Amino acid sequence: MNSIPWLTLLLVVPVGTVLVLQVLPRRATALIKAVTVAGTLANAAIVAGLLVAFDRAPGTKAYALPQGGSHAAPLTFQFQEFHTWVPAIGAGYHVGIDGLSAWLLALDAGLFLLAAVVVSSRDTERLKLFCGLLLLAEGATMGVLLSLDLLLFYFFWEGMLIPLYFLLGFWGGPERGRATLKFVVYTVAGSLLMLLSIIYIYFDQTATASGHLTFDLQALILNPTPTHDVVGFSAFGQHVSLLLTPRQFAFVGFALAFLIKVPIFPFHTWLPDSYVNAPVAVLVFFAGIVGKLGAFAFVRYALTLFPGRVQDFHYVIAALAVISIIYGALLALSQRDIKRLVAYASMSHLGYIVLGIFVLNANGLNGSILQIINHGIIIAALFLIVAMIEARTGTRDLRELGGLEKRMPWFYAFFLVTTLAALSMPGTNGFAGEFTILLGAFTATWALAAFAFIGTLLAAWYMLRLHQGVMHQPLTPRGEAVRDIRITEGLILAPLAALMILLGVFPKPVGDISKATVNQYVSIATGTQPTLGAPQAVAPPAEAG
Amino acid sequence: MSHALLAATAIPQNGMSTDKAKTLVILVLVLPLAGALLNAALGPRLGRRFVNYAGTLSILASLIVTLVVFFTILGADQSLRSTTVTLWTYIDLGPGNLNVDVSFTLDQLSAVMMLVITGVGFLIHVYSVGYMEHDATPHRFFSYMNLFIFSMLLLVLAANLLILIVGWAMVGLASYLLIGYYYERRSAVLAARKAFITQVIGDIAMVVAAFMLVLGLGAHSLSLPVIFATAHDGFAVNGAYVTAICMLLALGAFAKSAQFPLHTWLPDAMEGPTPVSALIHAATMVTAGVYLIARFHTLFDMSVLAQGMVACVGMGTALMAGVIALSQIDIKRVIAFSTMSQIGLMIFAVGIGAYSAGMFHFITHAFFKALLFLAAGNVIHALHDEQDVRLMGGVERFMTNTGRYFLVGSVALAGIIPFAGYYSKEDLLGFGAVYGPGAPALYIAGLVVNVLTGIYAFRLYFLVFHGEPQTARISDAKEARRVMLVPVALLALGSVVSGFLLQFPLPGIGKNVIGDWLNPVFAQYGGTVLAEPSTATVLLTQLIGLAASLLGVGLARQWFFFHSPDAEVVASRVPRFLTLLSLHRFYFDDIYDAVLVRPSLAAARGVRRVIEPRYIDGAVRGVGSALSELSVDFRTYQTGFIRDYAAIMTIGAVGFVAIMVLLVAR
Repeated sequence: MNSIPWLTLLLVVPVGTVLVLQVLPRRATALIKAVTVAGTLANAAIVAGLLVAFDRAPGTKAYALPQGGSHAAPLTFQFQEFHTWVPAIGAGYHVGIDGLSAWLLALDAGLFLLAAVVVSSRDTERLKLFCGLLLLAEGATMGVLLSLDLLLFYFFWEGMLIPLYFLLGFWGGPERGRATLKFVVYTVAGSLLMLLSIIYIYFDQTATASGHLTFDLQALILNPTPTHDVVGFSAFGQHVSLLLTPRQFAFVGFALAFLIKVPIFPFHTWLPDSYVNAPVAVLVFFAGIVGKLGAFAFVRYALTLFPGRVQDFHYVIAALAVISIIYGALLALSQRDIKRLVAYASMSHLGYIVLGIFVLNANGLNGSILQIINHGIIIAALFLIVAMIEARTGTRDLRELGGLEKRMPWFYAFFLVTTLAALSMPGTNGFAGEFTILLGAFTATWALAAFAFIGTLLAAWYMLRLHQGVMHQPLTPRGEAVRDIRITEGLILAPLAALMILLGVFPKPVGDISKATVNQYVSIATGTQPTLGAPQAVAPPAEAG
Repeated sequence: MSHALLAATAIPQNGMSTDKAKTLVILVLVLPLAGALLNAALGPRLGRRFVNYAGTLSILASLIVTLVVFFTILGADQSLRSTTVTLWTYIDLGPGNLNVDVSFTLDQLSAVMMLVITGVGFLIHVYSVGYMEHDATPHRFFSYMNLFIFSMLLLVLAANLLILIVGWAMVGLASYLLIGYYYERRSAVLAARKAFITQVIGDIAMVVAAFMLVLGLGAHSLSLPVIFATAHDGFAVNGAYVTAICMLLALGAFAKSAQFPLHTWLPDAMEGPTPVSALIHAATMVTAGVYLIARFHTLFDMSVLAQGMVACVGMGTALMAGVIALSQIDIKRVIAFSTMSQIGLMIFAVGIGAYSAGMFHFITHAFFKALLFLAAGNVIHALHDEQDVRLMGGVERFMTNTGRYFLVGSVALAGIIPFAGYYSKEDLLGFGAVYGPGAPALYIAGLVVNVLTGIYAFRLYFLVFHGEPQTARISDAKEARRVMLVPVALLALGSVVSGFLLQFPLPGIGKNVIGDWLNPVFAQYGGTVLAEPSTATVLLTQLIGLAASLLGVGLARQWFFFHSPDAEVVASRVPRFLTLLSLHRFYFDDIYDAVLVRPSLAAARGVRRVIEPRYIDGAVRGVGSALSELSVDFRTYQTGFIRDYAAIMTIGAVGFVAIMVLLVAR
């Protein structure tokens, strides 16, 4: 099995598909669409195979230290591949998946497939370029999920921005210029802070006798870092303390990058503008997966690189997450533009995901992973629904909408299921994730959960306001001539709605894959994981796949 | 299903085998769900006949399975009557973490609930065939109704708190869908939203209770048998922790059962079609709170404070709703407030620990209240959707049978011997005379409720069916079709016999069927079953209670029999403040609107219009422009956007770091 580099294929397939697209004539739209769908479908098939083959109870593996010798790996990765990349600075091409990234890969592949299907069901200007950028975005997001090397991760993380910039900038709505700029500047600012932190961490590690430094994640987690004093400087004969240790500053750098990416209050103001101006095919993966990569990176990097230090900050970030939940919900409640309403609803929901991560227990983190999947499905469906409404009625203003159920009974059914999932109705996937997250939060401190429940109550309110405002009450003139959804549109919404119910009554598969990994992350973050200070003898050196 | 039937009769004396229990549970749940899905997907294509059959027959099939369940439990030995089965694992996050099974319990309590749900549910479905004959989308109606039956069965069968919460929320969903059935009416849309959001408050309370059970007992499985079995070891009796859990569960129950302070949605819920009011907002869903407290008797028995609170809220709601019912002019709203009042009595009963008495009243109430709603439905149907009692009068002349059935329902509701309501109401009030906080204070309040019930029940009957017709169209009213009369007649039969057949009041005479059937459930996990009051007490309370009821009926006759209907009639008879409270439903809607709804909306608007643009996004922009002004050559850079945002981000980042530093600094 391991003879085939499956994970590398996940990166090669999208890029290869882009190359194929270059050969095709610009006019052959049907062919371009087919190739794009085929490319994303191939990736989805590989991910499906990986999930089936994924070892759910992998145990602990040996990890060969760059300093020589080996140690029990703090995180267990599967399907690993390793190649030297820039040996001089210790950066490698190291990819692998664990119970955290496995489901995110599935979501990623699924949403890009969905985006490709959405693209092929409508007319798009400069189709070839659009499809090419879409596939590049898929490759970059896959790379973010797969890489196990800080430099490689940073490469993909920044690389993700480029196709998104062009997709938003060329195909966006009326205010795309402003929105794109805002998004890019925010994100770049965050990334630069992260880069500083990465560089600091790199130089802060204890070099081996031979002077080896490394960007490898596992090695950095294991590395015993020297303890530093609080940063300070002397000025005018006075010692001025900056109150944090350098390590804590590094954490803040990472945290800011991810808080912006998710986004969490008060770093969210790029979100409504970008979402409202993004075309629907882009929104499917922009809202569905890109934001979640911030949450993913929180777990993968912010929780692990600062063993025991996360506890200095986790209540600050959890509190910001709770504020985000309520703040986003209040904004959603007061919107008249349904697309903007959904954008703020998304922000509120993302707060739950970050909350689950920073309560630092297994229930919370498992719940967050589950909710990342759930929210990806729900938000994609919601934006598709908004787009269908806008395409039919020509408006997104709640005051001009109403009574569409009369004209669109099938659409109503899908919208109802999506609405219920978005307001965490028990029996839908939204509830399964939120229940688990809030149980984790309640275990950490009941107050966090108590405030988060305000968001749950508000969610019922704004989602019903949206749903009933569009579907119920007397039919408005805008809706007079509206037709129900076509079969192709139904086939796009049906799998999403089915997943909302399926994962609502049977969320177990997600937990089965994530739980072993989650325990590792939690024990690293809470400082209960042994590092090199307490070495364990593990026999075989190499990276067994 | 025939397989299940055969299996049911095969082993009479033993408990149910796991396989058989699984089959029965699956069947009883899947049948209504299949009906719902069939109607939703194929109904529009296959037409009204198909919809009617799919809707009613799926419930009939579910009723038959329920009967199999019932007789199997009946045939089993006393100790083997409870069977719990697991269908699949919901989630399993490893030891010490959430670990939930989808499991169900068949026992005496769930069997009683199932019988009422599918039995009364079937009759109401049949009735609906007639009532909805002119409706444009019957498939939608029956789909929602079947979904409700499925959800309600899920609720009462659940052996896991998380699954119970799923059923709990889904009945709320079905209720929402049916309240908002006439979705082109703005009032219906708002009523549905109000009901849903109130239910969410209750759901959240239940979820928090579940969290506390996980933390307090380490019950990561949330399995009800595990929770009940470990509660005595895990919680101190009358401790704050178990009291808090009970309070939260009770809050959930109050939301579902329309009890103070979460009662305001029920009268608005009458926006739904009348069969919905009968099934969901009278017979079954609104009594789920009673079931919940009875099911969690192990916990409630451990907290005197929570029990006392529940009893007081129940009796308080019974009184309040009774007063409000006096002045309502909408025929359905009178019955709705009557429902609220009667459920208050049931909540009172389970609050003082008289669980089987509460369940007994639930059963009889399901009959006579469904009867009243359906009979009222006949009148509304015949009068072309007229619901104002001031415009009725003399209807009995034109709708003799409906009038008689309505009278039966009213007598049963008022609690006149030998009708069903008499036995169940006096039974629970008898317990109230002896048990409960400050007994017999609440019992005396209960007597007032009896008087009020007599007045409003017969006020309604006289106003609608007696006197002179107030509008011309009443003379055009025609008696309902047979499909709408037969279910009413059967419910009337139940309203007569379900009292004395199930429980004859005097100890030693007759049989205490319902108590004998249910008490073993309430004795489980070290529970105590309240001893029957002494014969003398029972005799005395029965007589006093009957006298109070008759007094109410007498007053109603005095005031309303000869009067032409008039909205303000009550006003001249009772103190003015009571009239005002009654007409304005104790001002709860106004208070909630002023204290909760408006401030929330104002906050939301404030965030959108002021905080977000001016402070959050504005601070970002403002810092940016401030920086550009400081910069020497800002005029040469006309495209200052990137720079602005970069500057802003830096400032923002520094600010964030400063906050973190202040919070974390040691």
